[in-house]
Amino acid sequence: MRGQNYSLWSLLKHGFKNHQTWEPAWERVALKPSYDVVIVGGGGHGLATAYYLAKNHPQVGRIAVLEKGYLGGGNTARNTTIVRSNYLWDESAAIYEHSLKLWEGLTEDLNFNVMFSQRGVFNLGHTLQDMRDIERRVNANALQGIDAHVLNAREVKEKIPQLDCSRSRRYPVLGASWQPRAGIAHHDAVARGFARAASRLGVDLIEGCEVTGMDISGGKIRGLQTNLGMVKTERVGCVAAGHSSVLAKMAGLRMPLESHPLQAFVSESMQRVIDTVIMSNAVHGYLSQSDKGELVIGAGIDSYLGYGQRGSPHVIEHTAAAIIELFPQFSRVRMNRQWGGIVDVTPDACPIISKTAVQGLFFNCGWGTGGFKATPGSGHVFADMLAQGEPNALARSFSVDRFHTGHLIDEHGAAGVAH
Amino acid sequence: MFLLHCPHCGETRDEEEFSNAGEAYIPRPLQPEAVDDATWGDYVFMRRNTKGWFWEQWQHTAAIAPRTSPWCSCA
Repeated sequence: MRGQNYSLWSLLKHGFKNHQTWEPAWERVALKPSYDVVIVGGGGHGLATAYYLAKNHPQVGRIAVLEKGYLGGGNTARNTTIVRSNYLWDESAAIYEHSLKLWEGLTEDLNFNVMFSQRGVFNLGHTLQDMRDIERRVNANALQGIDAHVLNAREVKEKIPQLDCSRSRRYPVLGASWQPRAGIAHHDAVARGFARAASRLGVDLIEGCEVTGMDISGGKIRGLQTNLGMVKTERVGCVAAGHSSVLAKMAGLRMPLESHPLQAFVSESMQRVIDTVIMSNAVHGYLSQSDKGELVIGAGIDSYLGYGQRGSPHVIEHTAAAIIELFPQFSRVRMNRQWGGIVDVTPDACPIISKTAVQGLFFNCGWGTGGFKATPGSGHVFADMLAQGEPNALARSFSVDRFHTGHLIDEHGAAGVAH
Repeated sequence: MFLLHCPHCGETRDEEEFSNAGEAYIPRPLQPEAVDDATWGDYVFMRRNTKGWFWEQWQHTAAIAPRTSPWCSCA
């Protein structure tokens, strides 16, 4: 592994030199004319794929990550950083739990502090049906070996004193599911940590490189056309989130994806008031407080298809109303920033990690509204797929073929709140 | 926030009164029972998800039939 390690010792050493001697975290290199594997998309998932590919499968050869903007500047920088694994079905719970386990050791593994904070996630129930769904999901999690608990309103109130649990609300809190090992991480740190670790293993990270076409002949991928010139390669992994359909079109494929704007917003920095993550399907909002003290609030997706990273104002209004329903004392908190990201949503709210009809062309997409939590797990299983050409046990159920065979994994319940 | 014209009501109304029904003009196989799984799966699930101009459907709460309108997803 190239480059310097981060440690207390290196901090002291460079501190004595006024921090002027640090090497750049990752190397800037020019695009080479050919690679053994090219990963299209330099967000968290793409960088994680590159890292695990270089680390676990060094025999694949030279690897490049092509990013049309800057590393980690897409949805990786546009989410609400929630990490959890309490999904309903075995297939999805397994992949998210795999990811959560990787999160737990990620800072040490990458030698980069990703600020993973296991502060727990509460999914609130407001109706009897909500509570039945929560009990079903928590029971499923118990069988899957995932930590999850059902709490009643009194227990929720004890753990989140700020939450309005009174019965007089229009949508009273009846209880919640609670995953103590869930939490949040720092989005930029994740992208930078993976980028640095991949670069140290010899992966070429190319920013400002947009793929404009694919060279396909004889049913095989031969190379990519980019704004920086041609790249010859026989193995391509597309990890482009909201723009996956655009890449699929270049290969003459259609994907079961719809791209929607998903919005979020943050408040001004405040004293610490919330030490956990609270999500509610019924009133549709979710909230945590960042280490800087901002309330990080997530909204729902806009109903229409769109690639504009904005979204409509009425969505923000509904979400703000939902948050005030839960926390009336936040009604006078001022909001600082708002943004939208483009999420690629599948009909069953589960990802696509798949081979395609074109030999050597693979897609990892469809993570929809909840891809951040899966960053390390997604990269890990997709790296296996790129190295071996076949899905591993965790990825097998997420083939795009399921939309023809009918073996969908309906996670709309557990993925219910867009986050 | 969009303002959309509903031909049934004859009025231009707020986006929130409408439901989006996605991409328009996806032809349903004429004999669903005769087609294979791949064709049916394509019809039900596969989308062009165009970046750029395309036709999409909006259903007004007060209307009978969905309205199809052009929309540019880059906007």
